[in-house]
Amino acid sequence: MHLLIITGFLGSGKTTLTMQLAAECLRQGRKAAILVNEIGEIGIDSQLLRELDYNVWEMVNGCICCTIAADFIPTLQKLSEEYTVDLVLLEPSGAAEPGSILRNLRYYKGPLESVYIVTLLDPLRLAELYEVVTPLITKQIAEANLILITKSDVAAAEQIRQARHIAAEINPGTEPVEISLRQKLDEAILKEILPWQNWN
Amino acid sequence: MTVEELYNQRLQRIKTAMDLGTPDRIPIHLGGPSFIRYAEPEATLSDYVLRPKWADDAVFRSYKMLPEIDTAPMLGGNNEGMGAMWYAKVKLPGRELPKDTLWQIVEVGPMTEDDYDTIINKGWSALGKELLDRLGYTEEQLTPDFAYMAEINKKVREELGLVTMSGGAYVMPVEILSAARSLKKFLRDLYRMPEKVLEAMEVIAEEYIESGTKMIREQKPLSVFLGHGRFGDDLFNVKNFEKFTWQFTKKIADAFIAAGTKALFHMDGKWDSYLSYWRDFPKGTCIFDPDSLTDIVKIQEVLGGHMCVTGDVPPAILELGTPEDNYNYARKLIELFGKSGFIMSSGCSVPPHAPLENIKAVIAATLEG
Repeated sequence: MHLLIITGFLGSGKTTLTMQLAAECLRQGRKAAILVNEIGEIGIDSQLLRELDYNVWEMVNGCICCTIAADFIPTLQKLSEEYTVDLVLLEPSGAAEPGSILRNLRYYKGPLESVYIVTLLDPLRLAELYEVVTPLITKQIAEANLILITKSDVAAAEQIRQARHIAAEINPGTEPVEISLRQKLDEAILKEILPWQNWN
Repeated sequence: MTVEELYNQRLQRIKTAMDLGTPDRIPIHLGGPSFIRYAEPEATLSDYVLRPKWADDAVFRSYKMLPEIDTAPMLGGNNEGMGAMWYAKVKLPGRELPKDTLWQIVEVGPMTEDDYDTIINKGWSALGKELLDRLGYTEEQLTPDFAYMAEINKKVREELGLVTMSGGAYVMPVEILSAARSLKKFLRDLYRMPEKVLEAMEVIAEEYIESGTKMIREQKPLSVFLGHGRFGDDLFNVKNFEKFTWQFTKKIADAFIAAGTKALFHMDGKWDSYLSYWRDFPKGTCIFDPDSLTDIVKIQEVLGGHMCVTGDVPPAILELGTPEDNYNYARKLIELFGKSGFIMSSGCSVPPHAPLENIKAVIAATLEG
């Protein structure tokens, strides 16, 4: 079982990317489970997704501190023990930094072949978010294995340049990729993200 | 020992700890939804929220099994109220969710940009009622059963001899506005119209101070609960922390302390970088109540001996660790803080599936002194 964490602030396209990746897993004959946390946004319609045969687990947002430990780890445990899942797509709250999730993974007692973090940056709002919630954006970028700059079809060149600049300052080792989630994901990105294609 | 004597012993123990003194033993403050299960192992979280009176009875019986706990349980749940307090909707186990999952607060942001002016001109309370209307809550859903509340509070004191730590809860202006407006829109407001937001926060703070000081003078609670959640050092930089959080935290707490109580800072989230600000309060006037995300060693270094600290067995260990893990963590806390100015507690509430053995392990570690 592999774990893919999709982070990014509210409205950056996490749910859309999650859905595209889940569909791609299905197309490739792999089984994906989706774990979502709905803090601050109306999330995935889990009932609809269940009807479409995806496995969706909603995590709780009653309390930030208890949520990840109390729901994420037991759910991961359950997925590992009771389901044959190739990939767990974890969409935490937009206000979560991946580090807090990784810290709680020490309580997980099942097999986990890999953990990969994709961070989505919304170039239309990144500059103002970086100004207001600097530590959060910094951590989301710093901890990413892959940075995707979304909305490249509607963002101005200056906004993209600014997003690249912020990303490069924080995580110089990771070259951001521009995408539009209105279009089908590029094969090269899928190869990068989906574990059985590229991960070590 | 009579229940009244037991109550007085516990009260003295807690007051001594809050005053940074050395009580006869470290007080134990543990509570949360898991307590329904210790007396009723088959109970689910849907029982907790959809059968609140039955759940309260089960929680009472659980506390009787654990007489070392000194403080009152969380009781009298109003299931719609859990969403309404955040100006949000709520999904409940056994209603919208599977029976044994935790409830979800669904943030919808009923507050508009123009509502900042409503707060400034008409006050926060007036808008608050309007927001609940917009969310479709009815007065009937949200009005507590006062007779029942009085009855269970009496039972907590007179049958169990348990002490209520805080008498009144206030969620800081930055937190409540971010929930009412929704986090996404609120952060945009902070960037685009910060002065308007600050003006509204000022109104909220003044209303809190007016109602809080009145309540403190009438009811004389041991402390007043001041809720902080999302805006720790993992979200706000220092400039925004000072501007949007700290100045109001300080102002409200100062007023409450001056009115004759202690300020209990319930600190969900991570606050490592900003701990030194809390040293601005006079020694022995506050309680710092972290949820395990802030580094407890750093809390002791910065605030130990200056204010009482509750701490902080992590929900992850309580729910997923072994009794030995819990015992060891609790012992580590006691070694760190010693016996003065410290209350043994979970980081935030005890999570819903924490085994009884883990609670017993924390208690055993505390009783060793």
